[in-house]
Amino acid sequence: MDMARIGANGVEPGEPAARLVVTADFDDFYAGSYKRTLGLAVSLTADWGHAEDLVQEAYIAAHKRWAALSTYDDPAAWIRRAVLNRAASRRRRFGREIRALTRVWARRGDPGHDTEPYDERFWKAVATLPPQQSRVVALYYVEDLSVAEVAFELGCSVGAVKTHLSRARHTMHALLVDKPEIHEVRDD
Amino acid sequence: MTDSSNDIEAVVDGWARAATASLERTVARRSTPPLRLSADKSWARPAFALATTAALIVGLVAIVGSRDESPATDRERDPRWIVTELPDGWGALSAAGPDSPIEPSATGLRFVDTRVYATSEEPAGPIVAISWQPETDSINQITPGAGFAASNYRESVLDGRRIVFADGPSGQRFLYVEVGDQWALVQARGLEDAQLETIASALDVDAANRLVFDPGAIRVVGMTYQGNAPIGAIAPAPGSTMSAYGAQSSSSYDPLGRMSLQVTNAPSAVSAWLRLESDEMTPIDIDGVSGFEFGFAVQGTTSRTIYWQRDGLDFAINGENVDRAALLAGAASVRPATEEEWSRLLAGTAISQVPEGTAVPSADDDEPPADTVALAPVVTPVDVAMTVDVVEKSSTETTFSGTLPEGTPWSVDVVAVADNLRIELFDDGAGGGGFSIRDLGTLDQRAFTIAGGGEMMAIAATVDNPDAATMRVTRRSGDRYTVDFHELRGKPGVRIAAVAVPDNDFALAEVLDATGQVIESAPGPS
Repeated sequence: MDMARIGANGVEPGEPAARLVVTADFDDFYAGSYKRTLGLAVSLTADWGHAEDLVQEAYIAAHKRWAALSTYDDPAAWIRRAVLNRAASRRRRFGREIRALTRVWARRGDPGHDTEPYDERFWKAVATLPPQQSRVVALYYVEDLSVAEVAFELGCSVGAVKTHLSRARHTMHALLVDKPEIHEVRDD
Repeated sequence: MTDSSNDIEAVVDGWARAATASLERTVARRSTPPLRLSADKSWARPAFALATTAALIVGLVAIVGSRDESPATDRERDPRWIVTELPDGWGALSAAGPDSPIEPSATGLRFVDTRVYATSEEPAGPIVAISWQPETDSINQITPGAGFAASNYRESVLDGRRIVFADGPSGQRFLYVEVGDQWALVQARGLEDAQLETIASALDVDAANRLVFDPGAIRVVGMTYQGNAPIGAIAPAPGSTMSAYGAQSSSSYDPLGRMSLQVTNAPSAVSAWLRLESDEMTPIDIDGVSGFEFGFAVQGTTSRTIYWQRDGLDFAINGENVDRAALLAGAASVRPATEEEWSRLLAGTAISQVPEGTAVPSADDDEPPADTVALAPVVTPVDVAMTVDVVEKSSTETTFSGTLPEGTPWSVDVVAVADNLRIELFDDGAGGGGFSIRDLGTLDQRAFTIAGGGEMMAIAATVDNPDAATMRVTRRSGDRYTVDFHELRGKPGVRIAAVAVPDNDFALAEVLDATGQVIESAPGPS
């Protein structure tokens, strides 16, 4: 079965073809999509500092490719892809460094930290899931995509998404309640 | 307690939707920072990440109840320093210090409290760190065999308590000690196992679930408290000050380069902790001052942190995506910031010297995740022979390996330590492998454990039922493999069988008795 896939530079040739040529303004795109992208990054990392780094890097990369991305129906899909992959890459890297290094940041204009603690424990548990499961959880809940849309985003079957979602929920239950099994991504 | 699979999924679905709503509200209140994409603007993210050493971390909630362990604050020097020599195309980013809040990033997934002890020779001399999880309901518990990539576990009993020795991933020595209902972890360099046992014997837990011990147990081996090095939340100690400064490459560089300087005027465990955790330590000279370079092997590359003392201050500079020469040049160029410079950095309005320089080739990590095999209908099972090799690498480590009929090799490592099994699948695909921790106390409830989640997944059955003879795993293609159980050394009566198949190709797992009757089964994902 041919599956739709999103490649490194957007939708590959032969994939859903009707690309509208839209000369969108990057600043508008950034301002309009930043918070949603940040939410996705936080859900994948459970770490505001890392999340902001990921989002910054993703948008900088997008800016460099904006001439092409601006012609896409949904440049945000490319941003999501960049954040998903960069989150996995950072997770692998920081898994090794984490015991030696820490990160601090200056807090300015950051009311979210003070006014309402987000459900840190839940997202930390999401961050311990195997990469594909955490991607599915983030896209399904935070991005509010349907199972079919998640499948398209990740380039896999609908059944695979359902499987990952089911496994993720059971693992989350074990992590947050039962704790008999703790799944973690290898950190070395 | 929720039992059925559907109920569990419904419960977690509810949690997820509530957590998402909370996250959305939190994100909505945050401002959108300007993204700096030209030379006449500055980076002004609301927060900048500064990767640097963990041990500036004085004043964390103590894990020990000892009374004479507060490092004296005997230096009052101004820690607001900056790096003046940056690579071409880089610019100052931001700063934080005594005149601005510094908040740690919740880096990492294993938040435990750690106290570091060393001799006056540190970082070259003996070093020990004692870690403890004070929250009994935390999901980040210290568990022998899980999470720290150690090897050569050896279990024994000390003073009626279980202990587990292991070799750490960077050449340090680990000693897990069962204290109450939890485990403490003692990490060390330069100490004999007998000395670690002396420390282990002193560990206890108080009514508030704090780890307590007589500091004399540490002094016996000649060490004193250096500071805290927690993996997680930190805070500057009252009376001490620290600062952080960061610089970054221009947006033309991908990945972004970052250089972070952290300075403290309080005694800290920076160098001792770095030495404990690093793969290598090299004495170096920084602008006429002796210091150390600590190396960390990360995915085939080396991350470096340079540490030195000068003018009554501790300096640590870390580079990310920056070459060694540039990092050393940056270290040699530090000087106190002027009030104006610091104010501008604090405000995030520092004038960057970053031009829109020549683009550096991208390290392309925008590749899509690996393909996931589509579900296929289950067909009539066909028994297929597959040789499974079982190798006992040590008294606690066993490897199951084989090659699937289509030629795909697989390997599943089982580490049996204390009350747990760590079942790990090595997968060089996009999933990066993964592992599961199996509680041996639940063998009467279920046999099967799944590990992995990338391109391959491991299915393991762990049994203490003497009637269990083999594990049989059926793939969606119909191929069915039978694997014999293997006795786990050190775990009388406990046997395990393991195999790996492509992700989403697992249809059914069964435990059979000697006559072929099914004792227990578990379907694959529907």
